Amino acid sequence: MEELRERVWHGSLNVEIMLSDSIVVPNTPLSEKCYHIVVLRESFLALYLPAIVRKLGNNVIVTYENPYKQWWFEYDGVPVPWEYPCGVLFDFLCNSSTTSTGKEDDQRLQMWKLKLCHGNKYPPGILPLVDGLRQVKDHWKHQWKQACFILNGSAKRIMSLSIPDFEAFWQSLISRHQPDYIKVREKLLTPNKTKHIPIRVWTADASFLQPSIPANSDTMTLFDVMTSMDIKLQENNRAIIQGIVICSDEDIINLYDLFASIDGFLYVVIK
Amino acid sequence: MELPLLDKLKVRDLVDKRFSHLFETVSLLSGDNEEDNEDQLRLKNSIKNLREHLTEKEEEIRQLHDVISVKNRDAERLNDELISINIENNLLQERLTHIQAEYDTLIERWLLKAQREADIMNTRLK
Repeated sequence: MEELRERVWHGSLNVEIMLSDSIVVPNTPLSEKCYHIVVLRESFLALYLPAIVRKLGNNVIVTYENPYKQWWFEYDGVPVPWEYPCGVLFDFLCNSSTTSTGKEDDQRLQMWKLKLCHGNKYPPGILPLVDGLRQVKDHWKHQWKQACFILNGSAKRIMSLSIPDFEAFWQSLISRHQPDYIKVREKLLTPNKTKHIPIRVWTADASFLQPSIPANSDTMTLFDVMTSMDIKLQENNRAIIQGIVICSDEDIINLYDLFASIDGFLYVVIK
Repeated sequence: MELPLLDKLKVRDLVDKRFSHLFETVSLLSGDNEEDNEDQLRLKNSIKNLREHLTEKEEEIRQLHDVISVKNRDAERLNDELISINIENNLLQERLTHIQAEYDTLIERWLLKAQREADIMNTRLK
């Protein structure tokens, strides 16, 4: 179980960030408009913006105030929201070779190709990142408040966290210190007293659902959850959590315990 | 029940991390970055403050230039007035001299006339 949690925590993706054609200085060599980085599945894209802008910022024709404001990513021409964990976005937007073929002997390089864009007007669907890191932190805190409310019926637990505890919680995310993260996370959960499961489902037709899943009923499986939302899991309609295809008979509480993301929600991608 | 999940995660990691050594590992806002950010923020604030100071001083200089230009115009006007008053003074002085000379001539003529009349009276009395 520990190894499983560690793998979830340390899961990463190879990402290629390319400057958008509209902002790149003409005749910039490919090596200078492109940045290859490892992105943690359990992190937010916005947290990588300072490093990316520092690396690629010299080759853009636009003037920018800071590495957060008016920047966003696009995948295949589609704006990528920054407020969800990277792994979830990747699972939803890309066809991972593990989930699509299930083969581990396939030697192809799996890489998420993102475009870095900048502009005064944000594309539809993108939450403007106007307050930098503070905004990311606040958003993450609000997600946890929601998750805490769903789990316990009130956000009291997170609201009563001391400032040092909350700061340690955030810092554990930034410094990638899993024991600290788990220590604070455990304060927010009450085993066997959970009221509902914070779950978010991204369906194949790009609908984003947040069903209310009671946790006090008898063992509820992923199949039951999907059935309650009229989603049929089949060969071409599979549930993907943390980049792996999940069998429909898995217990949803157990799945939450093992695979919940850094914002307190369990993300299920259907594709 | 967990083992199959663990195996799946292992396969996922194998695929996700393939060739990852070719990709740069970026720390999530490490201490250095924060320090850099703080330094940059501090420098940016200094630049901002200095720019504001510079703008204030430039405005002050502009205002002082305006004051100097007004004062220069006043001085010029005063100078012109001095010149015109000097000219007027010279003309009046010239006129005064002329009138004084005329007055002196009249007095002299009157004295001569009075002398002549006195002489005539004296001659008759003799």
